[in-house]
Amino acid sequence: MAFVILLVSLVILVVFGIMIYNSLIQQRENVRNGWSQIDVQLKRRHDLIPNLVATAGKYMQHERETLENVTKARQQAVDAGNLKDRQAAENFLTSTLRSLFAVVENYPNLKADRQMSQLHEELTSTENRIAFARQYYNDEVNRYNVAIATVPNNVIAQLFQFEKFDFFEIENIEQRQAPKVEF
Amino acid sequence: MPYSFTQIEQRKSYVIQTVFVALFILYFLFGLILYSGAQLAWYGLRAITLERLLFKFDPAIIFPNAKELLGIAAVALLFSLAHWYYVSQNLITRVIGALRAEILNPDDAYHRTFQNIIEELQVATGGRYFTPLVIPTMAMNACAAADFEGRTIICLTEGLLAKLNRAQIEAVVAHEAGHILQGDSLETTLTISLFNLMNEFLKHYPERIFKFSFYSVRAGFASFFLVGVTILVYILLSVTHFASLVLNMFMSRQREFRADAIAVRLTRDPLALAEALYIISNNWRGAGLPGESLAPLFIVNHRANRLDEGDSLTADLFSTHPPISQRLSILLDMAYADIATLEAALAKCAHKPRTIIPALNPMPEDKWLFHREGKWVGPFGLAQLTGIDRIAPNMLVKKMGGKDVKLALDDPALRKVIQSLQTDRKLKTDDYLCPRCHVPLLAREYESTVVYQCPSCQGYLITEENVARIIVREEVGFSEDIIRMARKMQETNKKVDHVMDAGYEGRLYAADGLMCPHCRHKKARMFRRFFSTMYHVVIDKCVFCGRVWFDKDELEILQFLIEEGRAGYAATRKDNV
Repeated sequence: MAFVILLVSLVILVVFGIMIYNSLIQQRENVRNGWSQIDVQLKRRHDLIPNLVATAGKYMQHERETLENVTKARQQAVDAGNLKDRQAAENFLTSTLRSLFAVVENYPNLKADRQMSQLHEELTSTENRIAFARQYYNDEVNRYNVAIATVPNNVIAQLFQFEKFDFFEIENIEQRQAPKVEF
Repeated sequence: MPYSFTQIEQRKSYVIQTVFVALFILYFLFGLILYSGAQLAWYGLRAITLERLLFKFDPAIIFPNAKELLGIAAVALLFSLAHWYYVSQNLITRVIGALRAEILNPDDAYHRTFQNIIEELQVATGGRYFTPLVIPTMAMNACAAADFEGRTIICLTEGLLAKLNRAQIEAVVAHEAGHILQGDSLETTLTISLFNLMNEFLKHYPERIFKFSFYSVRAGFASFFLVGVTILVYILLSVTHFASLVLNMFMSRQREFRADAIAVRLTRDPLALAEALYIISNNWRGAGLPGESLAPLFIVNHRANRLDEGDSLTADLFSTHPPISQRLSILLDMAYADIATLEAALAKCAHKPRTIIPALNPMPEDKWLFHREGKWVGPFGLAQLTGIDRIAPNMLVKKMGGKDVKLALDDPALRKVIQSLQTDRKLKTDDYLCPRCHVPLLAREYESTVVYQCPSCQGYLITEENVARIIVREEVGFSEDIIRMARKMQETNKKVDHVMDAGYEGRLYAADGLMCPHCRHKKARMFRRFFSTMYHVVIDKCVFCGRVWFDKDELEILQFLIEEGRAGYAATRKDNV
């Protein structure tokens, strides 16, 4: 009788353990999906920038340095490897774009250009998508990190070596301020 | 998200079952009333014909016995199942039809922004897509709907897209997405489709029947029949209205608070949603427009009413929207702000920068001579050549200053015009010709949407839906000349006694009206009328496609008059508050 009770308890524990394991796998995949979304949106931004530089260059012949900075920052972001480097490169690209749009303010013809206003809308949308993708990723990371730290999930997590993910953070205080772009 | 997927599905099933039971009870009650009424009528008929005295009337005769009750229940069940099956098919299609919602126009800047916002929320929700649609009205409102196949739509009005900034539109779209994500959109869509949609469909009929009978040459029995149909329609309207009021009890006001909370969670911007609700509630929300019966789907009720603003049990039972002041209060608390701060922020960005649209570049200086009756006649520009005297494909022409003589059809510029003038197939936008000058129209952007303008006479060809967009967007500024002409037109119109009937389309159809550039292949003429009885700007409108032709300056004058009228009305409202 005791043996039967022990066996049943063991089976229940195993089933419970499987459920926890599956749930952690699901959450880990959600985190990876969230990261791939950030990737997709960052690539979208990289693809828009050459068009932006070409359109702006038609009107801003004397702002070569600003345009070159944007091009270089874009290339750095494309070439970046690990997460830390990518974060730094993307944050730098955001600041160069902010400088470019600040200079665009001095060129009313450029501001009125239809292609420029479309590009501005696309870039605004891309920045928002990156922000939402980060938000979604960070929410999923938070959910996953809490799950693997709380009892009894932490037992299964340590057994199968589930590791924490890092949040996608902004490094500098200045970059926490939202860029103000007005047309 | 506030609920897990399983919880949402369980709650959905519970509500759907409850609504079905309510539908069955309604049909059962209708059946009982009809049965009792029929019994009473039958007894009354027999009493009159067989001269039975009323004091022998037994009330029990009008109440069904157990067998008859079962029969009524069975019939009610059949009707409920049939009704349920009918409404659950093509649910979204019927809602879209009732709202007159349309797909987005990729050439329109505001629609592109809306599309982008939908895609941003797709990222925010981890991949959930909502189909965006636009309701072509100047009112401000938004709604969402869903069906059993998982299709979801979010509709915004043109007025909302024009008047709100990007952050505010995003907050509104997130609110509608919140309804879909928490699962109540399907319940609401299904519930309103049971009777509200029927109400929406029927309410236009009395007017149509009245118009038909008024203008019909038939009299006597036919008119009597139409009056009978109208009365029947009004009875049905009362029944559907009562039934929809009953079913409104199943739509909790709390769902609006939950959707607000989800919107804030998605956008992290409670102030933007508060601003949007404030602006919408202080503008025309669509009262009197198609789709008003579907008010439970919308972010704000079309009509401001005491029931919505109340806190009583009656309000909780029968109102589908909570008080706006309460919603604003909750959102402003989240944003650590108050109404005064909100109003100050809105007042600061109330005025959009305006642009005066420059005239199109003048026509190219190409001129031609054409050969007629043994001599060269001209020179004529393109507008003159195509405007006069039927240019023919086999006419001999030569360009001014050139030596080559060729057939008109061999000249590229003339060939384009000749082919468009003589075609019997549907024209593409590239083939549009000015109805006055017969010069090819050029596409240009006006108020962030595409219009077609003649480079010669500067007239505009605008689609019907774009007219409303252009009027509501208020991006264009007005020159002194336009303002002067508009004021002069107002003064002149005050002296006019007889106003043309702008309401009944077709009355003013003229055989020598302008040829519609889009419907040229049908030889469709545009008819001339005032834009409305209030704004006496003369326009030409095509009966087939609805496209409108504005001659030079007419569009700007109309916009100026409408904006001035609106500003005057708003000032009056402020004074009377």
